[in-house]
Amino acid sequence: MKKVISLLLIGFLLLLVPGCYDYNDPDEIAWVLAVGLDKGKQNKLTVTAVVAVPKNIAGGGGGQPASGGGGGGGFFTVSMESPTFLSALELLDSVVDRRADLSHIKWFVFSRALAEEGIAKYIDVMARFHQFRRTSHIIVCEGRTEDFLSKGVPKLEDNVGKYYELLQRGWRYTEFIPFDTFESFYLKSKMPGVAPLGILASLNRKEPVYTGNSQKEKGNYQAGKIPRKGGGELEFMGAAIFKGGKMIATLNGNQVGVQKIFDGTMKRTFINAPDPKHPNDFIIVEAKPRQNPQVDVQIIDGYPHIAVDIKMEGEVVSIQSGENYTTPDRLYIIENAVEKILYKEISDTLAKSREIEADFLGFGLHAKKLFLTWPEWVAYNWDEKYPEATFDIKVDYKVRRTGLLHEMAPLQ
Amino acid sequence: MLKYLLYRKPSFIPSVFESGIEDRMDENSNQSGGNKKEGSAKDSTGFGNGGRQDQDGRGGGKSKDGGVKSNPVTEKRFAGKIAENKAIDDIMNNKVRLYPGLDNNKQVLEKIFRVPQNKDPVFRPISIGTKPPTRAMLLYLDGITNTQLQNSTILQPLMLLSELRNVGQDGGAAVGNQDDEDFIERIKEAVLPSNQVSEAETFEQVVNDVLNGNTALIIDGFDRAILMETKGWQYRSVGKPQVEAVIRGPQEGFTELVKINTTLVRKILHRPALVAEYVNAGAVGPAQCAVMYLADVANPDLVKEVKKRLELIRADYLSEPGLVEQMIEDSPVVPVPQVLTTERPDRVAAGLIEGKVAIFINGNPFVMLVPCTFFNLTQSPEDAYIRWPAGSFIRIIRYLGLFMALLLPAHYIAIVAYHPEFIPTDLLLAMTGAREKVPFPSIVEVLVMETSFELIREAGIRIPGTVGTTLGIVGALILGQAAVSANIVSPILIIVVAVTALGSFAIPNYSFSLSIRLLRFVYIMLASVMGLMGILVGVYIHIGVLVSLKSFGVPFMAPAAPVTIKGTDYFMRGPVWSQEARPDYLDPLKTRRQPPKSRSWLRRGRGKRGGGGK
Repeated sequence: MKKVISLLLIGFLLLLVPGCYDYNDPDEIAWVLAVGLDKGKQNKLTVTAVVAVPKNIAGGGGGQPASGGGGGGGFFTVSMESPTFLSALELLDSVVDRRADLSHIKWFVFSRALAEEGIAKYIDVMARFHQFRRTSHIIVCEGRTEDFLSKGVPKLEDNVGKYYELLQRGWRYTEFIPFDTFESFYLKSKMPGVAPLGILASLNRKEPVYTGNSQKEKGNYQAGKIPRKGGGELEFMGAAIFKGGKMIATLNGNQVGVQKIFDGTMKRTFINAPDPKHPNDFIIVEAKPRQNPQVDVQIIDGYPHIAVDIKMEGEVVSIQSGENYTTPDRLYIIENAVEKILYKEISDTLAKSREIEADFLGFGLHAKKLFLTWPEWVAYNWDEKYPEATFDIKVDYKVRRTGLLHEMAPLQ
Repeated sequence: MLKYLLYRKPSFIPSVFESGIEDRMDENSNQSGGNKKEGSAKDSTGFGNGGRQDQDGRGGGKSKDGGVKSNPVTEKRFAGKIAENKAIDDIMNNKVRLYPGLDNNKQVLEKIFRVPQNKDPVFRPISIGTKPPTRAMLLYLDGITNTQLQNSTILQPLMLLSELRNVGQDGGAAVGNQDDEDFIERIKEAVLPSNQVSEAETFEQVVNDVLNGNTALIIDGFDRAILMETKGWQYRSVGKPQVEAVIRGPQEGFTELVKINTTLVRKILHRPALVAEYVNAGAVGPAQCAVMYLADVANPDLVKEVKKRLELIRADYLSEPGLVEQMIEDSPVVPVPQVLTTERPDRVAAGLIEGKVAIFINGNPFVMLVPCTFFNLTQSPEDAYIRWPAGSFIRIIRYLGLFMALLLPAHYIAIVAYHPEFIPTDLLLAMTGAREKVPFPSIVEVLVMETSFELIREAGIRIPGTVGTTLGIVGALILGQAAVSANIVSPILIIVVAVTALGSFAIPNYSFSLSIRLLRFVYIMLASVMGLMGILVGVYIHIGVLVSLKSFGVPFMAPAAPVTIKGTDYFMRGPVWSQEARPDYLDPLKTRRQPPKSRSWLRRGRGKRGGGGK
């Protein structure tokens, strides 16, 4: 009997222990879903934290707007001036009643101004501090991050965390959004031979800027310059290229598409190829990689010679002219048209990479195997030699299906 | 209460039970406890005081610290009674032989059966129709004998027909000079058409047989009695299994009578090697506990061990397998059953075929199968009756249920309180939002809900059938919307508790499910203290204990740990034709169940026919 009672007492006492150390119910924690860093107004940095308001999210939204600059979407933002990143989060605990938890952060947003100045010192804390997870993403926004985050209110979601996830998940469906998790961003930053990139983002502009209605490439835009009216508050398109922890250039949508082909993160895309017989019309095809890109690097006269072989396939989505290209003996016309446009996009992007002297396509990773030891590879100084590289591009596109129409007759 | 907690005098404090108040009431009502004495033949040394033993019933006989003491007051007041009881015990224990005289025997038997207070024993004087008539007496217990059988197979032949068969004591026409021996033999052979007739020489034999529903015939002038089979007590007919229901498979369950139960197994296994041995276990009396095994399959050491353990039980009342189980299991402290209890004859038959040993106890529709492993406890006979992919699937479901029942609430606590990064943001925010108005920490929430679920479960068993529907309403209120709208618990916890409940109902073995229910709370505690780390520590210890456990010499986790030869039927369910060997851990006399090519029709001429088990 004594034993039983003492066991029960011990069990009861055990229940008191959790309160002492590290036991936190989720409703005692402020969930930070995104952090933005910007050049400070009064101190070195302006750190903006997006804090979720769970009761609005769980209750179906529509709760009262909370403090800070936030609106709907079940969140509010807090912007603080601070000398370092984490000290701002400590400040956060003094302005938000609940303890801030960073383990659900989706985005690290840097303003373009800060990114161009250099973000290396902030990357360190993200990689080192245990609460940050490496599946989050690096985003570079045009303008101030505090505006970007506080005005980025989702239209469809009640949960801003879901909005962030889904917006970034666009990389699966469109070629215009690059894919680099913080993990790969960090690894690429450490490694000679490849340059990391962050997603380029921007707030929707009040008024769209239209520059004449001549024919332009659809991917010829980047965030902040997409000619549109309406839609969500935030836009993602293009990428920011980093070198040595500094943002050095931006890529437009098409260039990101090529980067994704070489990175292996391209899932599918649409290609608008000009119709060879009807200059005003397009042949639109879906394209997806048939196999991994073949990259063969040779060192000729001390400089790299890079042969790339891209193999893609897909189905016809639209032939605007109504010309019947879908018979087996005429399919090559479509294929050639697509190959031509792909070739152009790839060579444009390669030219860009040589121009900005950053190998964001990762050819260095293929060149690495030519060197027997790491010091040899480092001594070769790829980043310096790369701009002088010569290229040999081969593109192969195959039409697999012609869509739901087989032998099409033009409209009479 | 507090006084006892803080300080307890090292002196004997008689409890209500030990003060003898209840016993005295018993004694006044004709000492009905006498029936329980029958099996005490072997344990005259088991208890210090034979007189106490039969009055104490369950309470006194099983005290573990040996501190069972007689109440001196009672002893003094009922000194006469106690002396009488002791004398009767001596007659039984010392195997006193019957007297040649009928009246002497009757006197002693009346004492033993406490006649005239006891109205059940019937002493029926008859005279056997010989020339001259022989005085005799029938002894049986009213109500547990078959009256018609007695009339037609005992009374009629003895009283009316014996003359026709010439069994005269004084020398009939058929036989010349008969002595006593021959008379009894003649009666047995020629007069009594009973199907089982035996002879007894001691009072103990007579009493035990009469208690089992037989009729004793004592003839004047002979110091032996003839025992005739006349069992005719009431029993439940063979019905559907109540606990282990299956969809496909036989729908017969055991009943309360050991004879019927062994027959049900024999009905499935038509083998001469199927042995049913009757063992005296504790004081349950002879022919009350049967050990069944296949003599050509079961390991003789295993059979010996089972019989040894059963025979060496010293206990008073053991007419329930649950009690016997606690007496024979290897590690009584570990909260895991080490004996497989089943009410399905087909399951027992399947176990016997594998080389296990079944223990039948009279008076209970549950049969024990030993040895038992962890994997046996998670299996249901239905796994084998359906096709093997489905069988494997439902086993996976069941393991999932096991995991849920044991660990789900603990994981809820651990993740919510210590590792919120484990769950998707959406879910986390939904959970957080739902918890906003709940005033308790998650651990209190979980404990409240789990406790009320256990309450509902316990109440559901105890509630009388007529008011059963009330429970559903109350239960739905507690574990449902009302608790949520009162902001006592968060809605997601209702789901956790409900899934946990479903998981524990999916465990096919009741006592295993009970142990899981108990351990769940331990895991909740561990999770609340140390999160997943705590659960890990718990699992580590738990698995360690299970692995070191043995059931009748067989490691509990066999064949997984220690690794032995695995058949296709231990974790998942393999096809029937691939189950060629009996479980290795049972070390059976025959290892092979079927030849490698058990479907001989497959490639004609190449498959070997028959030859299974050689």
